[in-house]
Amino acid sequence: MSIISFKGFSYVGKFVKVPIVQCFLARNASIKNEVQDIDVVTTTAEKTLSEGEVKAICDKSRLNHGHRNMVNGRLPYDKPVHRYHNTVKYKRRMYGRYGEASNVSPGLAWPTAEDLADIREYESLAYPLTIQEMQKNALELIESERQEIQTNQQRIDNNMKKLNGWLKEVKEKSAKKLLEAQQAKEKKEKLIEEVKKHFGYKIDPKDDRFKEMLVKREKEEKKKVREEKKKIREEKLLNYLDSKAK
Amino acid sequence: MTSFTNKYVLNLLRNLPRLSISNLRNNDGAVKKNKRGRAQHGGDKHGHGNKGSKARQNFMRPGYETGNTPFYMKFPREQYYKDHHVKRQYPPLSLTTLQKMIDLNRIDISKPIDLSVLCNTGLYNINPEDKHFGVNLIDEGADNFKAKINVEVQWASEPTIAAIERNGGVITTSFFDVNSLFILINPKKFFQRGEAIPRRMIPPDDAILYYSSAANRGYLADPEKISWERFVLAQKYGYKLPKIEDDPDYDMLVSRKDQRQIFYGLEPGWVVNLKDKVILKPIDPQLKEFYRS
Repeated sequence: MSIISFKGFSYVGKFVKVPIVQCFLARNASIKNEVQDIDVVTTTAEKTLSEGEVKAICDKSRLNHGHRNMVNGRLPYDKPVHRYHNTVKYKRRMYGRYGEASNVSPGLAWPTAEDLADIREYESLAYPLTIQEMQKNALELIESERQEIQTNQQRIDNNMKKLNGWLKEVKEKSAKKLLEAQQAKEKKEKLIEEVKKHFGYKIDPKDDRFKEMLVKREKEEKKKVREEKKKIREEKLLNYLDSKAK
Repeated sequence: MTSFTNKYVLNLLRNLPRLSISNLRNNDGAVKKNKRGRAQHGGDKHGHGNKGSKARQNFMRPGYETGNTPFYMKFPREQYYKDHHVKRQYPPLSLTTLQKMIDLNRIDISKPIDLSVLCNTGLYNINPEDKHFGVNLIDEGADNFKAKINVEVQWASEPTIAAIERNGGVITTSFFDVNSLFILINPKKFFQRGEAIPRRMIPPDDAILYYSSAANRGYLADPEKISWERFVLAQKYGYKLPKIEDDPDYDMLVSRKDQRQIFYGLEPGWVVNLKDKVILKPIDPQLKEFYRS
């Protein structure tokens, strides 16, 4: 197999090589002929190449037109190529970078009357106050904060003066409450004791009999109180009548 | 006896193969297969039960309490970092560094120094996109500071001011809005934009008192009050205030920017073209009035 393929390859090689050599030789011969025949042709060919064509031939940078211009410090495009080349921002930039050579009117650098109105409107919202007003406000803010702290301190001072009185009040109130509770407790105990004496044995306070007894006792006490009051009233009346009679 | 054993051991050692990478083996359990087996290779439930939220490893975010008000939201709290991300920052520059820049001719002290000059040294830079609002000149190396300069910074402490004024220098703190800062830190880039120099904007509410205070040498402060504060500071720090009026560099030392001005010597509304080396000034009365306001 290998021998066959080798043979085939060698055959093809031979077949191809021969005509190439022949062609090359033929072309060489023809050029030689031309040069030998007319000298004038070569000179005119050189002269017909314009400067631009020569430049294009010499330029081997492979950069595109705009980029080559930028690399050489020139305006990238003579005419607008992209849509954004017509914007004011781009034109300003071109003037900023390439100066007079950019063919941009320097007047574009400043805002138009409309832009000015826009800027003024923005500034009236972003900076509504003058420096003096801002200073005044800042000072007022500081003053109001100081005032607040001061009033708070004053309130604390005043309350501290009253503190001892308040403490005394609270203590008295609690003592009174305690005393009342004590009295109520004693009274109840006394009542239970009396009920016990009445029945002659110890009785559970939850018992119905005990409760009945309690109600009875309360009624009696109320009656007693009422009677006492009546007595006093009568006495008063008598005294009054006596004093009138006299 | 011993000689026999020694001989035996030595013989054994001689005949044993040398220790090399080819006859070394890892300890048992040193290599751990870090893979979860799938299907018949040990893939079952992997300790996560059968179906449902738990099998799908549906983890809750930290602090979430399944519908309860989370603990971290339950109580009112003081936000320590409130508005931290919008606060103005002033990256520091020490007096030591400034002195070094001057000594190494990175800065020319025969002219006023501003942020533009500092950025041009290549040793200091700010980025307004990171909320940087200029330079904070700190007092590190105040004792060794010996230069007589007219410097404009955005923030300065009292010892810094004293260190500069003791040497017969002048310091001003001035505010630049973000737009002006971008222009100031890279003027060439701005000039190549081919736009008119804008006006510098006024400081915000929370900075107005700093920049109008004479004690801070603010650019909005009354010059008479500033000269009084200069005297007061000299008394406080115990140095003799050099007389600027008698100084040979008087003009340089007293030169200050207008409150609307971004560059020394260039007014708002002017266009600078670096290619043609020309300065264009507006003549339209409307524009003139706008840039003057």
